[in-house]
Amino acid sequence: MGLLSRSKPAKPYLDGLTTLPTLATALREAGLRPTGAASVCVKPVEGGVVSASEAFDMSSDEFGYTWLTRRTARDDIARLTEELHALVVAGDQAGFGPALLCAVVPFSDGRKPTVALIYRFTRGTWYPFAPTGPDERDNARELEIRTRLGKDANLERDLTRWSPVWGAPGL
Amino acid sequence: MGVTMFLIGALYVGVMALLIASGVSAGFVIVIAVVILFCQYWFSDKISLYAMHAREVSPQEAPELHAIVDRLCAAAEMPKPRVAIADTDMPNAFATGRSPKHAVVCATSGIMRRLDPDELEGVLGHELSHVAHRDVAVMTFASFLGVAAGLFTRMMFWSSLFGGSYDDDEDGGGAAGYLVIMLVSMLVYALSFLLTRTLSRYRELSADRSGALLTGRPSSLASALRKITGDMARIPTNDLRTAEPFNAFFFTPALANGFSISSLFSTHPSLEKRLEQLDEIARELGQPAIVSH
Repeated sequence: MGLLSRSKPAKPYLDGLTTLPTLATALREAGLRPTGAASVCVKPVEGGVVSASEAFDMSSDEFGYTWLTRRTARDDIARLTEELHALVVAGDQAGFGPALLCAVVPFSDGRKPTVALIYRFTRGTWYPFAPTGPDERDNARELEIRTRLGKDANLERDLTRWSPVWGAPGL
Repeated sequence: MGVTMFLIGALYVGVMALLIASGVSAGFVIVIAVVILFCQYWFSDKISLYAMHAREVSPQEAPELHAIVDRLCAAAEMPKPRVAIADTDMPNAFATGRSPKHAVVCATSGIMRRLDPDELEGVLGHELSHVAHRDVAVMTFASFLGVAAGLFTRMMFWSSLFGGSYDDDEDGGGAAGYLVIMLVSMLVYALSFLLTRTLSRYRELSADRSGALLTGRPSSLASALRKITGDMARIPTNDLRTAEPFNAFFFTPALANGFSISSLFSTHPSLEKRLEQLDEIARELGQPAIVSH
């Protein structure tokens, strides 16, 4: 981004989050079930303090980003989606919209390492992420998951945007 | 990339022709052309490393990479080239240098992150085969022939148009004559370009073959090729949180793209063709066939 790039931060897409239950249904056919956790990553904001309801655990990572994590025992993905959506809508109203980086929703089949669907607020799209180590990912498995998810409108088509988020909560 | 290479070459021929047209003596222009190409050949290692923002690494800095190169060079009984790393997420590797003694083999951090050690060995075996085959010299010579052919065509036309007839009225015939020169020299250049590309694809396939025989594991190179071409290569490996603030773009200067001949990518036998050949080698070695898609 140069000096002449857009001067106002892009408006975040919040509603794309609500397609999560549909994606989860498609993943269930591949044996992947939600772990019951989900988190939202917020960029550091000057002078701002991120707050959320007590249902969310707050933590920070080595990059200085704040993570708000919701952990539920059940895999009630519809409920989880509603809670995530409510969180980001409230955050947006409090002025944190442009600071929303991504949402991370882990899935597991009980055998292979946990994978995640990642939602980008600036793009309004989801993409799969299958970490296999501290800085390794299983591209073949990710592409397989993409195939599973089919032609979902909210799937990120541009593979160069499938940025990893290693060490996200629940992964 | 093919188009880029073509245009760079065409521009090169064009500039030389312009010099001739503007009255610089043809002999002098040819000397310049030869000198430039010679520099590209002689300093190929430095130019490529500079263009790729690569830096040479010591065995302490990159022990695994060095270990692989050591092992392969011992097996191939060739002098060990210098080893460099380019810090970019783009998965690629290249070897360059005018002779095995002056060679440097370079891997990007992106390819090292994506491949496991066996696959990386397969790729480096391919690159070291380029060094052993002296492909930089072969391809520089081949591309020189193309450039020279284009130049000679233009010179012939200029001399036939203007040779000894400077008193002619230039208004009428000049523009049309120039157009003909443009067309013919483009055609000559295009033909030689195609031939160079064919030669280059052939060199790639033969590097695949020698590399696979050197490591004895054609399947490793095959799986590396699958990982670093096509879809998988486009999936990034730098964390969203580090990628975000910088939005880094990697930009290779066009010149280097055009002339870093032995890059694993810039020359394109199709992936299928390469996998097919590796499959064949696996069978010759009595190994189970590589599963092809």
